Amino acid sequence: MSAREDVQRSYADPYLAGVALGLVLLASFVIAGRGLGASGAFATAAATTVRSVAPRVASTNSFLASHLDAGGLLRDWLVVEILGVMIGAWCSAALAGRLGVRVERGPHAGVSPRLWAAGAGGAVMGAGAVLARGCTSGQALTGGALLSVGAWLFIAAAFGAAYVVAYLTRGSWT
Amino acid sequence: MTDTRSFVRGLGAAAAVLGTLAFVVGAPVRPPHTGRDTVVSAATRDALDERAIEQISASQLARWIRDGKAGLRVLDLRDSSAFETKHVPSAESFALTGLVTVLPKPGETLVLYSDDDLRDAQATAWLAGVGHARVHVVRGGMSAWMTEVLSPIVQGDSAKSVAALSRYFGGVPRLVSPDADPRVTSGARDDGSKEVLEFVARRGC
Amino acid sequence: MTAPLPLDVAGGTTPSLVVALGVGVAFGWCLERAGLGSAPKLMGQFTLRDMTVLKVMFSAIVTAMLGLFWLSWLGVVDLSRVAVPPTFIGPQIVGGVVFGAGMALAGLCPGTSCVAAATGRLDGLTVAAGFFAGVLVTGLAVPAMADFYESGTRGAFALPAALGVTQGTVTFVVVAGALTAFALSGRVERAMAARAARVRP
Repeated sequence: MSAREDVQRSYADPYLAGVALGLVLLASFVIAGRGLGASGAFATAAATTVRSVAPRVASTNSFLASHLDAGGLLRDWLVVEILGVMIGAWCSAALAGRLGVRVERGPHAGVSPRLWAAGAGGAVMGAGAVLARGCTSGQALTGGALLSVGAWLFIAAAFGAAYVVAYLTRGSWT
Repeated sequence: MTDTRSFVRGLGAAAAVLGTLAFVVGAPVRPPHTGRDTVVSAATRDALDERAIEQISASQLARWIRDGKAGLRVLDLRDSSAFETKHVPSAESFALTGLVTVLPKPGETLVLYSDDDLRDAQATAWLAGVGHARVHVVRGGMSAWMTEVLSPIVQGDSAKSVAALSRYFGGVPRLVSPDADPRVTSGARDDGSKEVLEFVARRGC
Repeated sequence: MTAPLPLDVAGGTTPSLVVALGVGVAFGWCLERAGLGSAPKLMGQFTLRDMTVLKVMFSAIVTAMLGLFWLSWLGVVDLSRVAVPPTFIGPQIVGGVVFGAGMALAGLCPGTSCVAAATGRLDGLTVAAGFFAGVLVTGLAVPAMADFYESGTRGAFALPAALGVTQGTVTFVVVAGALTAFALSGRVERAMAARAARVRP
């Protein structure tokens, strides 16, 4: 228990982390003329996968085709950005002694149920992200800062649904 | 620890100040400058160099007004005495600095005119910067309205439609037959001409 | 020359990819620093015990939003050249609900799942894998639901234009709302902790 408290104390102040994140987002707008994202990188990876197996399906599907115009996985802005996210996360964790192979879960949750929920939840998020043209990084953060109507609707809908489902499954986290 | 807290409090105060100032200022662009001799801002220079200013003809504006184009707003950027003397029907008079009150609305189309190309460019650059999606400038300004709409020289195939458009605004189209000397023009000689003259006299326009 | 710089982001030029990498590294660093790579901490938001997600997200939104407003006012940034994600009313509301439900099940979002995976968390890796599968399957299904998928299209549609108020007004309201939420969040956290302490024997 006290080990967890130590970890909690070593996290950065959330407001400072948020402002820093906001400055990163601002820098992206100012230098590159676009904001952050995550789901787009996965969409490009999915489109690339479909293309390698069934090229005609990939080219005739408007969603997949729209993610294939970069000329290669590693030429896609969001794919490179997500690779950066993983590098940055690793560095921060390494410096803070937070690297470690484990399955994070609630105090009373088993490993197997956790992993099933993780996979299923991830898949459901994938469906939502395709419909919404983004996720918490691309729509909520980026679109939110740009005051996009669709982004703010997404924020309200996503947070609302998350609170409901979290309440229904509260045993897994508390 | 308390250093962090007071720093965070400071950030919060800064956000409150910047947010309140944003409300006061309204648009994230400084109001456009007036006068030719004022230093032209970077945004205007970019607009003049890079962005092509979307021009339309005076006749096109006339058709839009007559057809009741949805979301159309006509902005007259000349000084108020010029506006009082004569302006495009349905136009609103604005000084450059007054443009801050023109808020972007979905589906709107703004058409500007004046008698000064530089002022048109400054206004267009500023309005686009504030978020207006469709901003057009009347090529030739008020003088084009006078010659193209109020007293156009009509000839050939389009004669009827041009003349009808002109009369709609109380104008007097000048008919030229194909083999006539173009230097000699005559007033429209049909039933409506007397009414048109009276109409123009009544309305001024 | 005003920002943004002409980096041809869509064309995938090397300078723009260098920027992408740099931005990504900083993004990942900030998320991990805040603890958002940890599912139990992230889910604390949705059980009202730990308001970190709210604090980080809205601090970031407010910072970037105020930054854009004032840099534009100073003439440093040309807002008309910053890419705004297009609005699709129906799909973004429905997609939001579906996404939020999935996120509460998974305990992480796509970006934080990459943060978790990079630090060794197997649950993060599983969320990322599931997300990939979900995007792929749903992507294949897009033509079948094309009418809904393309519905409610508004293009780059900002709140000021939608509400008929100035950008400064919306900016002020967002800042005021965020600061109020921050002020209340401490109280919510303490109330929920007190309730948990009473329940625990």
